[in-house]
Order: sequence, then structure tokens, then C-alpha cells
Amino acid sequence: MAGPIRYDLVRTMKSKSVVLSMAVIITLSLALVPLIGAATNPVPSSSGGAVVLSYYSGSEYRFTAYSFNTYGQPVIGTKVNLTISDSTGPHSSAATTNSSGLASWALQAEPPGTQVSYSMTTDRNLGGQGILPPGMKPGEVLALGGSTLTTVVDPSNSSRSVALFVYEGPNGTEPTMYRVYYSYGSGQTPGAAIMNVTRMSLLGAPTSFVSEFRLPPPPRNATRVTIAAFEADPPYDLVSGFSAETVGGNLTPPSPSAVFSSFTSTVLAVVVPLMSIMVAYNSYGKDKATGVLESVLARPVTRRSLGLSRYLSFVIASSVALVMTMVAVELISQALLGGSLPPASAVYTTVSLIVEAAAFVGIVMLLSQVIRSQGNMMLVSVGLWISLDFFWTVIVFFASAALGVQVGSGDYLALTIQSSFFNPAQFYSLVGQYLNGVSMSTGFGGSIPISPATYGVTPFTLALTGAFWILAPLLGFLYFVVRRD
Amino acid sequence: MIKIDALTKTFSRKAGPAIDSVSFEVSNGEIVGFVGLNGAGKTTTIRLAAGVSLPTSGSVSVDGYDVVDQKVEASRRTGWVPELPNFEPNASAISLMRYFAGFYGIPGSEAESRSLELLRSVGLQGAETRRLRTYSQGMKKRFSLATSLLGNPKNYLFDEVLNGLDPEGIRYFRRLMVEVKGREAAVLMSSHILVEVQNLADRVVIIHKGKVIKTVSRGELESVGENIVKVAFERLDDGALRYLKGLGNVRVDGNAVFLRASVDPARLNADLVKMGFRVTELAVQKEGLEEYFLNLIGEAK
Repeated sequence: MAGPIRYDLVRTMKSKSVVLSMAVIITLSLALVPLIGAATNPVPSSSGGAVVLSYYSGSEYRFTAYSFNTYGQPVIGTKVNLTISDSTGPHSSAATTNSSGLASWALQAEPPGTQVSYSMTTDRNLGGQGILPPGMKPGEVLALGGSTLTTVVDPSNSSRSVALFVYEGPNGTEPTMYRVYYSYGSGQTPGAAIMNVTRMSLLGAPTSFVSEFRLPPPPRNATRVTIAAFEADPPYDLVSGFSAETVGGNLTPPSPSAVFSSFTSTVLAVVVPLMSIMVAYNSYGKDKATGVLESVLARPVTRRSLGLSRYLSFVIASSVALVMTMVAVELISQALLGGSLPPASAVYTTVSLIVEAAAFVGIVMLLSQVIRSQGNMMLVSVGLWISLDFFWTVIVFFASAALGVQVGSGDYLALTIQSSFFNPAQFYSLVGQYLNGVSMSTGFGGSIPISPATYGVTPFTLALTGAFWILAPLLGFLYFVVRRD
Repeated sequence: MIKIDALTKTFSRKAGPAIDSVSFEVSNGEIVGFVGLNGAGKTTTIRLAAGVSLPTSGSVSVDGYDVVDQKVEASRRTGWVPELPNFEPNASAISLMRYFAGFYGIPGSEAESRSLELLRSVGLQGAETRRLRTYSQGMKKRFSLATSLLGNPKNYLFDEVLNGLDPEGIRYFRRLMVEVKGREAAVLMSSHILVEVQNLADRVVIIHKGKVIKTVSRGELESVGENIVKVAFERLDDGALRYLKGLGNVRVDGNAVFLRASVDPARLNADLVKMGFRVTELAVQKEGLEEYFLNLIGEAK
């Protein structure tokens, strides 16, 4: 039997669907890994916060506050308490941000001077106090608290960062007279040393109180980012107090681990099940439907042996394709990112994807035994892939609604994770959750790490689930293959 | 030897069984013709005997090995040529032959030489390395014939093997039949070309609507059916027709009547003349397997 199995393996490896799938995966690796690497912006992002600005109009102090989350999106309901103390005593007021994240209010007190101080608190861990500068002219804007220039996560691509500029022009006008610049650098030079328009690149012109500018990917050797706001006209003065090196710590080049993780979760985890379906369909389901399989079945071989031989050859072919992909990704990683894939992640990823591949090969072979029509079989196989890979979160959402579980709650998280045990296409993500941990969002960009074991994600349950997804479809197939034509 | 015992296959409960309790044997050194109308159940029976389809009930054994429970042994002893052979289109003839040879335990080098020898013997020399998708239906039939001979089996199942073969292929097949019969092989062949069946077969099994309705032996084949007497009249008369109907089955064609009955032609002629009927022609024809088969099917209907 070794000869026929070898032939099946060679035949499968040379089959159009396998060659095509391997070509697609490797091409995607070549094309996407550098892109993902470049797109992974390691600029540290703010976890959200608030900015409070003020100016003296000549008769009163006017305040504007903006509260935002880690994506720079408005946060409603942030309360700001402000007290201005002058020679007549303290004057207090409070405001709450609206649905645009904004709050505007006014307070009457003496003009800025050596005796005029302010004190501010918010319910978002932002506060401040100080003397209002005696030289502060009417209409001149002062930040009482918060960073007017910061970085937040790009809501449309969480691997990238956006510069958030929250500011206003004199007398509360739109800040169109400023320009935001950026520069990437290396070494430990203080950011202020390069805060000069001639040494920085233009990021954009603000048009409203809150402006966002997507930061270009940093070069590989960048270790520091500086963003600053200058006046738009010569002599391009740095806007006092509002330009800063907004991020602490160093930039690091995209890590191979992050790129690898992003690539496998966005590409391989989707393509591998489809590849398995196509291979199993083209080499077994179609052969069975067209009668090609009978020409083999007429030889001295049992149905079970022939089915098993084909199954093994598909799984081995898928495994070879995956290993080749990993090698390709490793080579790209070394060439472009200057580092190697984390060996443990590479092994776990490959193994979990092989489990997914084996499960889908088994499922398609099982379907080919129970569905006679070639068209229906293909339809069901692809439908299954789409449902399990793309619509699983929707299915879980409806299941949670049916069970009365509130979205975002701990129970919902538990349902999301535990439902993955019932989906072969989620096996890779389940392994990922075990390796990388699970966290629960607390809102405002915060999260609490939770042990995967809390939801039953342990090495034992993973091994059991993997074994189940390999064996269940295979045993189902072997059961039917000797009982149904 | 191929033994088919109470074989039944139901594809759909609604449609009823495709074959129903079919039983017969093909002994070693015997060629059995298997005839029937389209949809009678010939191909279903042969596919079940080849082990490529599973019976609903009943069994088939080849040299004593059950084709379901002892498939490997049974298939090793069987060569099957399907009515419409279908092979992996992208494989070359020689590579697929080598692959098939692996199932028979033929080692690599021997597989190559044996495959080439068989491909050439069926007239596929020069096309050994061509992909099977480029083969015509006749070439596929020849290729299928070559693959059926790979394991040098003692039992053969030929389903409409003559369809698609050119005259040279048909001649090769006839020679092959003589050869395998000489090797004491058991052959079950279905064909619509009844003349070939009559010439080659030792016995003919007639199947109709999934049931075996008649088995005709070699001896019977030689004198199959009854004489057909053609009686042509100047003008066919109702009285003459009534008289002839009283003697046997008749078929009327214009003023001629074809009477299937064991009668003495001279006596019949004398009787008709005596009754005043003007007979213009009286001839005796031997009924062939085709007429015999059609009459039998007609009766079965």
C-alpha cells in the first residue's frame, strides 16, 4: 500500500488546487507580511483622556473640554470641576461633556495676574492647578490640563496610530492658524531640540477643535517620534506649551512576533480552511462524483484504506504547504524585519492550523459521502467555511441574545471563548487565546487580563478539542465510506 | 468463478429496486453474455460485482471471496471494464497504470514494463505518456481494458466493452476472449451487440426490469428460438390470418405473415392452398438471438 499512498501524496501535491493554494498563500506571505510590518505602527498610543482649554475673553474665563477614548473618539459624561481663585475668593463651576465629548462653559473672575490661580479636577484622572500667567493676553489660549497633542489608536486600523490635536485659536476660534508636524528620529535627543519646522515633516492643518492626522509608518531604525504644532505663518513659532514629544519610551521596529501573529490571524486562519476544502473537494469529492474514484476502487483496496490514503495525503499536503508558508514568512521576517519568528509561536500556529486543515478535509470527505450532488456539496462546504470563519461572531451574538447574555459582559466573553470549542475554524484562535491570554475590556481603552483557564482554555482541553476535530469528521467519513456508495 | 446470489440494489425507495434478487454464476472457462434493455440492471449488477458499488442485500463472490467483506482478495481476482471509463484526467496513462500496479503489489520496475506491455497490447503504443484527458472514448476503453489485465486476474467483468471500440479494437477483444477462456477465466460480458454475444458467449443471462428472466445455454443458443415461417399472400385474407394465428405467434407486414411456430412448411403450404388462399411465397427463417430476445422481452412486458 505504500506505493499507492505515495502516489496519492504526489498526486495531491501536484494537483492544481494544492499548487494554486500554496502559490496563493506564499504570494500572500510575500505581499502581506512586509505590508503588515510596515503598517504596524509601534507609536505608543494614549489610552484616552481629556483636555481642558481656557482663555480670558476680557470679562470672563471661557473653558472648553474634550474627553476622548483610546481611539480619540468622544467620551460622553466626563465631569470637569473648575475653580478660579482671585482676590475676591474662589469661583467654582462644573460641566459635563456631551455626545461630542465636548463641554463649554464660562466663569467670571479677575483677569490673569499673579494672584489668580486655577484648580481643576475631572473624573478621568486628569487634574491640574497653577497660577494663570500674568502676561496672558485676552483671547490667548491656555491648556489647563491634558495633552493637546497626543497619539491615539487609529479606529480603522488598530495597528496604526493617529496624532490627535485638540486646540482652539484665539478667542475660541477654529485653530486654522496652526500646523501639525512630525518627525521620527533615533537616539536619546530630547524632542524639543528638533522642534523646528525645518527639521520636521508636515502632518496636516487643523480645521476644527479636534483634529486627527494619521502618522506615517516609522522607519525601521526610528526610536522616537516627535509631533508638534507650529503657527502656520513665519516665523513659525512653536505654539507655546502645546507642542511636545507626546510619547514616552522608545519606538521599536515592528516585531516579527507581532507581524507573524497579525499575518496568521488575518490570512492563514482564513485561507487554510478554504485551501483544505478545495483540496479535499477537488481530489475526493469531485473524483467521487465523476466516477474517477471508482477506477481506483476497482483495484485490490478497501474503501476504508482508499479513503484513509486520500485523507492522509491531503493532510500531509496541507501540512507541507503550511510549513513552506512558515519558511517563507521566516525568510521575509529575517530580510525585512531583521528578526526571526518566535519558534514556539511558529510551532503552535502550524500545529493548530494543521488541526484546522485536517478537520476541514475530514468534513468535506464526510459531506461527499452523504451529499450526492457535486454542486450541493461544494455549496455546503463553502457555506460552512463562510459561516464558521466569517459569521461566527454574528452566530455567537445571536446565541447570546437568545440566551439573554448582555454583549460586553463577562458572560458574553465566556460564551465567545467557549463557543470556539465548537468551531474547527476557531481552533487557531483558541490556541492563540491560551498563548496570549484573554483580556476583558473595561471601556475607555482599559482592559483586565483574565486567565484563559477561567474559560476552560487549558492545554488539556485544547489537546482534547484538537483530537476531536481531527477524529470526529474522519471517523464519520470512515463510517459512511463502507456503508454508502 | 463469479457467483451472484440474490443480489438486490435499491437507489431510492420511491423508485424501487434497480435489480431484485439477481442470481447466477459464471464458471471458470465460461463466457456469460448479459443482455437486457437499457435500464434493465446490467450495469448495476456488474458494478456491484466489481465492488465499486455496495449491494442493498445479497452477495457477490469471486473465487469464493465476498466482494464486500473480502474486497481486496476479490478485486485482486477481477478485471473490470466499465461502460464509460472515467480516469483521472490529468494523469498520464503510464503513471496511472503504475499507480494501479501498486495495488496489485507489482514492484516499481516490473510495473513500468508490464504497464507498457499492456498499453501496447491494447493498441495504445505512442500514447503511453499522454494525459488521459486527451484520450478519445475508444482509447479510454482500450486503456480500461489494459488496466483490467494488470493483475492478470481469472475473472472479468466487461460492461458494454464493445461500445466505442473500432473494428481493430473489436478484433482485439475477440482474441482476448479466446485467450482468457483458454486460461479458464470466468467472463461476464454485457453488450447490446447480440450477434457478438451469441458468437462469444457460452451462456446468456437475460435481465429485464431488474430481474433475470431467462438463462440460455450454449446448446440452446445454437438452436435458439423457433423457426419463423414467412407466408406471403397475393392478398392477405382475414380467414388466412385467423388460421395462422391458430398455429402460433404471428407478425403481419403488409400481405406477409411471419409465423413463429414449429410447423412443417410443406404441410402448411398444402393446407393453405387447400383452403383456397393464394400463397406467393413461403420461406423458413432461423430466429436469431436478437429476435429471440425481443420476443422474450415482449412476452415479459
